Amino acid sequence: MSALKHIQEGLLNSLWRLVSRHSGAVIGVGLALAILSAAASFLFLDLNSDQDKLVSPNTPFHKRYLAHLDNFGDQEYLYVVIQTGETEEGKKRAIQFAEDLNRRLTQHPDLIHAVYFRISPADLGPGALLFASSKEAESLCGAIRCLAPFMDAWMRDGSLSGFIDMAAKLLKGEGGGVGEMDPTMIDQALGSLKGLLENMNGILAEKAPYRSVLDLSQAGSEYFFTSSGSLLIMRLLPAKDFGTMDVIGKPLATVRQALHAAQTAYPDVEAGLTGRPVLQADEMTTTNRDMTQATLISMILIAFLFMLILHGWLRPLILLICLIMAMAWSFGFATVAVGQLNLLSIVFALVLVGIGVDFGVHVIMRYVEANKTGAKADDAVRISIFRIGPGIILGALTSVCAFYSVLWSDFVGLAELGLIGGTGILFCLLSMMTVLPAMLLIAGRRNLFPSSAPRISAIPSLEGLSTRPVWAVLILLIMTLAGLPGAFKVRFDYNLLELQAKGLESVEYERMLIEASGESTWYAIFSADNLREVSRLSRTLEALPSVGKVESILDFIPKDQPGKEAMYEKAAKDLKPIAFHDLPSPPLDAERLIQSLSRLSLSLEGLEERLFAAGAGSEIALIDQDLASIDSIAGLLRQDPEKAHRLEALQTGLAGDMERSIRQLKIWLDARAITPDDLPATLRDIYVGKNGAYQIKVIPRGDVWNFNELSEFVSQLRGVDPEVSGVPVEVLESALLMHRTFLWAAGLTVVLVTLILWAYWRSLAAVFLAMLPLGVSMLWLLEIMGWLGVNFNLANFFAIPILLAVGVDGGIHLLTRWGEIQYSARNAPNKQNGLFHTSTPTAVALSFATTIIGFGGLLFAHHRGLASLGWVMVIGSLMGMMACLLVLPPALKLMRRR
Amino acid sequence: MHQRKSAWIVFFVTALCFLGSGPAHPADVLDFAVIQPGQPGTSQEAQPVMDALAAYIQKKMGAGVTVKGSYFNQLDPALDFMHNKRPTWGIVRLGFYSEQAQAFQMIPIAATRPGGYAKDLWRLVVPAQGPEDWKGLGGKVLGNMLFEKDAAACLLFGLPPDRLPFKLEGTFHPLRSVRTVIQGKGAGAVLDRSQYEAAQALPLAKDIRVIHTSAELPASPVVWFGTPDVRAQGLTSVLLGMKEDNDAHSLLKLLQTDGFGPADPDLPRYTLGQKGAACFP
Repeated sequence: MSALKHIQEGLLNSLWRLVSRHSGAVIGVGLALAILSAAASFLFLDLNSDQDKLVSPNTPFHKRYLAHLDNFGDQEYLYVVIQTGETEEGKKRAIQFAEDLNRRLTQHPDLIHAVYFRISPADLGPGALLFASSKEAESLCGAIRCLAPFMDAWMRDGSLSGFIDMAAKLLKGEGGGVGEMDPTMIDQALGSLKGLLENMNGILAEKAPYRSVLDLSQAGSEYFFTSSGSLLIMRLLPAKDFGTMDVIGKPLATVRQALHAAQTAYPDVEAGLTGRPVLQADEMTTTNRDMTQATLISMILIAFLFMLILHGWLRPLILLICLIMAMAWSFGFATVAVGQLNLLSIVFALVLVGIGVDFGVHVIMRYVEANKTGAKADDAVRISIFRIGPGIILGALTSVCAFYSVLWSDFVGLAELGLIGGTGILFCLLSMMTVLPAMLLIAGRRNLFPSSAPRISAIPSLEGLSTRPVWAVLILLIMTLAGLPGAFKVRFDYNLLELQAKGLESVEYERMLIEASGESTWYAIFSADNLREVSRLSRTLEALPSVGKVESILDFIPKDQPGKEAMYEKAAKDLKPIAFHDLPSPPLDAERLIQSLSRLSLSLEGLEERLFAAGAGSEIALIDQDLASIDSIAGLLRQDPEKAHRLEALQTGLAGDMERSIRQLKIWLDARAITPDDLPATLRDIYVGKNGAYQIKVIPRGDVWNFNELSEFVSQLRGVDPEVSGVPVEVLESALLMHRTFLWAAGLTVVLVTLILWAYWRSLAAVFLAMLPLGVSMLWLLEIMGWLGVNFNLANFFAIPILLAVGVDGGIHLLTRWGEIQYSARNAPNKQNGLFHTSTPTAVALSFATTIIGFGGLLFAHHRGLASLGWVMVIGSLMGMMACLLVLPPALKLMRRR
Repeated sequence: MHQRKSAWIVFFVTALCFLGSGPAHPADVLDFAVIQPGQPGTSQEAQPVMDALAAYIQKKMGAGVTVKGSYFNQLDPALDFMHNKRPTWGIVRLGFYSEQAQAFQMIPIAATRPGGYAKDLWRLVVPAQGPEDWKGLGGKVLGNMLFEKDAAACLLFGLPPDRLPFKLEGTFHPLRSVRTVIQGKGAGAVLDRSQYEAAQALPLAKDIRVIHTSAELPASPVVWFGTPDVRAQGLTSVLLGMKEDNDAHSLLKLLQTDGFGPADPDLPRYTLGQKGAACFP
């Protein structure tokens, strides 16, 4: 007898003494510990949903990323994508929509820290005009040259009718007038005129108060359209709360609410939300919904199955109580050992339900079997502990190996799951070997179980399948070989977008962004110490085929500054004569106003004729509206000349607006060449880090959700600087790390399990037989996945350690029972000795069935990653069950012959 | 067509040709005139655009060339100017070309492309309830291309004006003329392709009806006054290259032409005063 078996026997004896003599105390202590653990975890166990905490901060790529985050701050945006239909009208509507949404969002500064969708001159500070192109600058200077004398004259006059006369003269072309302006500026002038006339009309009709029509700070705003012009992009910086599962739950709800309101106001504009945080939040929401649905379905089905197999409700209830106790202890352990749960380790409870409950199933099934043969409660429990105990302990140890094998991984999230999940399995073992027998004893002694025995404790009908073991093994071998090509078709798919639910708005808009603009919400980050380096790196990066766009602070340093400075200096001289002292506000005279409006009307008609001759119908429609407003204003003034006084606020406001605008213009024209230090803080904070380094953002050209394109993108960037960081690098390295970790864990588990089994049995044949169902089931799983076209991905790869744990368990239990049967057969030759006449195959089948049902609910998940996890778990468990029931029994018989 | 359009006029530019393909002589003068009788606006309003075009041509042709542009939207001052200070080249309305081509030895060297079209179409519109046939029309027919009445009648109807049942009258207000017609104060209005397209974008489109459309007509030509020399070739290539030149985009917008194309080969057919023909042969 090996030393391990000595220890095991001593342990089981002590266990039996404890359970049989102090049943109540065992239950009481277990319960007290469970309550204590639950309370401790409720009070002290934190949730950390920060994805950046899933990977070790000592990993070089992640260390660099965290350093970037620390230096430049969190710049992970939500993206509102507004469709323009690629028409001028569509662009106008998109801008209106964006402005409306911006107004709604800026009401929640605590939830939305920043909204970026345009740059207005005000954002750019005093040097705003230096950002204009040389042609724009030329055109602006021409307009100033033409307008300055009129503005000077009006600043001395200050009357509303004088202002209207000035507009009429300009439109007529006096003093150069519109003749020297760029046509686009005439559009703006007409727009301002329309606003003024509508405002006058509204004030006279007492329908609207005065509002500013000369807001120069918003003039010439540049909106963030994609290069194709098909989309307008708004970038929102949300507040993050890593103490909640959804992290951006509140800001996201606020943005969606605002988006809905804006869509109601602009029903013809189509817009949606995307970006990595939204995709993650949506993933979390669909995952939660799918998991809840799957849990409900599986709980109902498993309860039904337990009640059917275990006969009645009491045994399933006892099993459930023991499982809950073990889970509570595990929560307590997580509180003490780790102190927090991450996005991966939070699923440990589900793992325990899938694996931990199996130990109890075996104990109860053996108890039922013994009970059925006439054993009293004490005897049945003792048999259960001594006969099933070794198998359960061995199975638990092998399962723990699957989880503990990731403990040293750089994937901290997975390592923590391994620690908590593995320890949780040990707690399940403890609970099922102490509290469960104690409860069975108490309930059995008091005859609380149904008097009739469960009917389905064995499945003798399957015994016939292994009566001719050679044939059975041969047939299975041929079938396995026939399916073998399928195994080679299975690939690993790294595409994270393919894991998301179909039809999800964030996914659709991410796709749209990639397809319409060839851009992504992901970008890589470079760091440079000085502007020369920024310029050099930007040029090099722009030349790379996989790079779509490069953004740096240099984008905000205007080109050809000296040339523009000289032009503006000249234009400033044109404005210089305009003085601002004591703006006059002459009394409003209805008759004078009507005459001015009449002159404006004539000018507009002249303009209409010129536009008509040029074929410009839409502008004429705009002027027609102005003419209608003029008619209406003149009509109201004629009707009651006293109403002219209502326009006093407008006249004063107009003078104030004009003065502010001219002052602003003078500031802009006087500005000297811009350096990064002159840029507004909002821009500098994005591109200049705390240590003074400059950030360069590199946006990929292709679809970096596609792993090959992502690898190529990162590889090209590393050719420029191996220290490159950012989300694409994080995703690539994390995916590779996860892949490596799973492969390493799977390999290590197989080695450790083999060593443990060998140490226990000291027989290679026994080890081979125990591992046989696992090996065969994994091969069948690969074959079926290949033929069904199911690939491994970052979600369903998680199934492998669970399947390893469950698969080995089945083999161990069947092998242990087989040894027991052989021993009995030698001592009592007449006794029926078929494996399928015992409860063990039923318990093994039930264990697999609970796993199949538990994960089967995921088959209906909307989240495609979860659904694929469901498929792999269901197929893998089914194959495990079949391998245990069909492959191992004939193999055991063949080995016995030898 | 629905791009931003400036406040005034369709101006069209011409080219002059100098002899030889080498650099221009210091004394080379490439003055031009844009003659668009009936075009709304005034010469003063249009002058900045003429100056801009002159500067562009001068820049492209070389420092030794001087260019000055003049603009006329009235017939008599234009004729005075042509008799007394005839420039080297010009952009002229089709009617002006038809009537004066022989007198001023106009040789087409390029063509405008208003709205991107190489050909123009004139349409006679009447109120929606007006007659079906132009032969049943009486009174005044208005249009800004009707100052050259002989040419206009021939271009539109293939008849001299005295054989038409109505009177043609030139106007500087083509839009007002349409409104006048709708109000019943005029018999009809003639619109060119740009004007007709603009009208279609307005609510008044439902109140008018086209009862006659001309054959396809050449767009306003760029002409050389006299025998074209090598300078004409240089100018033509500058004009033809404007569409691809980023620096010329704003200027083309102001000129309301989508670049310039080669001279219309049909144009010489549209000259009046040929022997034995009341209209064109």
